[in-house]
Amino acid sequence: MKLVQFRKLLRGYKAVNLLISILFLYSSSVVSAADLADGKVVSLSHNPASSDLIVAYPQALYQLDTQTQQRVSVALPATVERITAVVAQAGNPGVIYLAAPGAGVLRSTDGGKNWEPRNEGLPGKAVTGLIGHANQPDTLYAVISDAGIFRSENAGGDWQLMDGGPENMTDIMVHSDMPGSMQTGWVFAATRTGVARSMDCFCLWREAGALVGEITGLTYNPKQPAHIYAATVEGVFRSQDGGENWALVEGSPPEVTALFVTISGQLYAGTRSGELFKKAHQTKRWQQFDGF
Amino acid sequence: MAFRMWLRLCIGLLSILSLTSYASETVSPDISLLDAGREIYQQRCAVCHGADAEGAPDWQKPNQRGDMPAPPHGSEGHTWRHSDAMLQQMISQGWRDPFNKTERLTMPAFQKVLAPQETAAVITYLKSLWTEEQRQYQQQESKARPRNPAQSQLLDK
Repeated sequence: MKLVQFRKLLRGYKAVNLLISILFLYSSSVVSAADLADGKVVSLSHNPASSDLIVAYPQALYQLDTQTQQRVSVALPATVERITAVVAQAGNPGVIYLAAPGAGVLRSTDGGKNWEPRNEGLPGKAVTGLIGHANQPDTLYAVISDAGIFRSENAGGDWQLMDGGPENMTDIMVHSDMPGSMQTGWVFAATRTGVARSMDCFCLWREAGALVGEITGLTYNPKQPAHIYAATVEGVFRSQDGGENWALVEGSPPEVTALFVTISGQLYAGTRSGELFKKAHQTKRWQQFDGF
Repeated sequence: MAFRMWLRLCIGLLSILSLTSYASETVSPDISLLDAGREIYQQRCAVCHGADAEGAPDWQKPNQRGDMPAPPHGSEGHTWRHSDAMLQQMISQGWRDPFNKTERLTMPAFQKVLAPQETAAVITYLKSLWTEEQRQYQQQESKARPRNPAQSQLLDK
């Protein structure tokens, strides 16, 4: 009798143990924003050739298939302590650039399997911002706080100081090939008081419209280069005239920290809590993306 | 013995001088065009850009019409950031800041007024107002951008 009871007890124990194991494995495989350090979406980019959205968190990088919503983690080199920006090179699926203070600018040419530093000519590795030129794949702009904005025209092979940046600049910029520039396009920069705009000769920074407040996300629409999007504490704003006038995009998710528009015109937003949203075409609806 | 020592000293000195001049090659404006350029500038450009190329007052902000005023051409301005091709096009065909409130050209066109050589002379004069570092940057830009595709596209419309 006691033996039977013991066997029942043992079976019960094994069942509970199995259940606990299953639950543990399940919870380990689900990566939620809360599991990631800070949980904030730092930067977004897009690879048009593969349709992958590149999503950067402070200590994690993912390639997210926008069709299947499956994400693949990209291993980061040990030198990366904190990501501040990611840029996927247009026209070349394997090329990704990272900005990481302490590591500087890093480039991978094989989709993130291997990384190499690209810091020649930079005064240090405290790179806090990085963007790509709208239509010159090898041209990049990097921000080093207290040093300014640097340009490379050879995929990070060497860098040249272009400008100190606008007053109150943060680290977020975007390059647009909007017509009318004396050079090849325009640089829009986020500041603590609004959006600043300069031709990419860095001739003169001017206020882009009357948007007031710290800008936490900035992007442009490659299909309509005069369309600029900027995120503030009040929501996401859109300008259709190069930053002269701004209108609130209805239904914006709260606390947007990263914005990106793909070459097809799809707008994505990442938030402080690590969530991803995309704006449905022709409607006011924002759809939460990737289940966070 | 002494002769050999002096010979070595002279050779060494010449080597150092040649290396030094190679390492710190300066960009010097063409002197033959400088005077002509200065004169043309005073006749055609000073009315907007100032007799000393100091630019219009408050040039960094739109004026009462909502248009951008004439900038300075010296080291405090941004003329040095543009390639020769860009400067030639701007002077020849003019340019309008796309954010001006009026349809007026920000920079008027001088192709009917100035011959190409006169335009080159003015640009030469402007280069004399820059720092050496700015001249070197502008020289690099001119080599890298012998023709500005974006501006060409704009002005070819």
